[in-house]
Amino acid sequence: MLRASAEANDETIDLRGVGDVSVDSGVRHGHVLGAVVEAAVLRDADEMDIARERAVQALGSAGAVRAIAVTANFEMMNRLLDAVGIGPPASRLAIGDAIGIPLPSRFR
Amino acid sequence: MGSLEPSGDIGGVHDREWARLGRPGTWFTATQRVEIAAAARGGETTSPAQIAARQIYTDPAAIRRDWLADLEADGLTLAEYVEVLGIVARLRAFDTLLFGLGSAVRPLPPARSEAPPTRVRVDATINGAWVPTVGIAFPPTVLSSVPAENEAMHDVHSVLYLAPTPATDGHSMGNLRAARDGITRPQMEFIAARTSQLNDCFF
Repeated sequence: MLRASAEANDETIDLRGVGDVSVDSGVRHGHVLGAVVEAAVLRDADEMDIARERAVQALGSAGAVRAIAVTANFEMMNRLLDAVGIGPPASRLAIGDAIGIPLPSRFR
Repeated sequence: MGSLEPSGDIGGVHDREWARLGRPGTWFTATQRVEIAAAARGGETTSPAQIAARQIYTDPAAIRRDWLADLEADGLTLAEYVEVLGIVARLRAFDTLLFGLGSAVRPLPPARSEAPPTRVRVDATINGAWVPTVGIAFPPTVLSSVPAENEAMHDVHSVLYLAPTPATDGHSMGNLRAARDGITRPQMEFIAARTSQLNDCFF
């Protein structure tokens, strides 16, 4: 969906930036968004305070709230999928390699 | 800096979720539902449902079919497991939301009724997942064997992210140019991908 939405919005992205924070994904404010996600998912309160402040500066308060809300939504969806054994469709197996996140052997 | 306040629609869906949690479900009483949520957060885990709740909340990527089979052997039905999953997945979403906003964790609601669960059954089959689904198993149908849980998931999903079905305001998954509060669809999808990577979710 990242690649498809980038194409639909005439944006150029580097999927490797999803799994490797040293790579610029090309997503606008990607580093700010990535820091929000990492602090929220990993429950790092100190980093969350920093990430939240930077998100407000870059995205505005409403944008920062929305970024956190989307993170929260995928915390839900990740659990729904992993808890019932739904893995990636075969058609998407190559994407894991493309973004630098090789899929575990159980999905191959 | 201080905490952020959720917008009205996000606060509203949080309130709806807390109301749902405190009511009887499909397979569990209101008291049992609140106890499942408490177990997920680190409370007592004496029943198979509570054990499942804790695992789903803390480390879902480690769940395997054999582990679920053990819970079934201990008396948890797959339909009950689906209700536990719905409760806990949404709880995790709202706990993450408040953590991210810089707010204190919201206390669980009291059980508001001692009525029995509704025990609604639907035709569902194993079709790509470890639990029965109505149609092929994919994100929108994961909880479809317990319709109340599926509807609750769609409610939360539509407010926090985008609606799985077409929406008049354009905030739907089919709209690849959707934007909310200044966050563009590629930014949303980057957040989704990064969250999934950190959770070891490979869908």
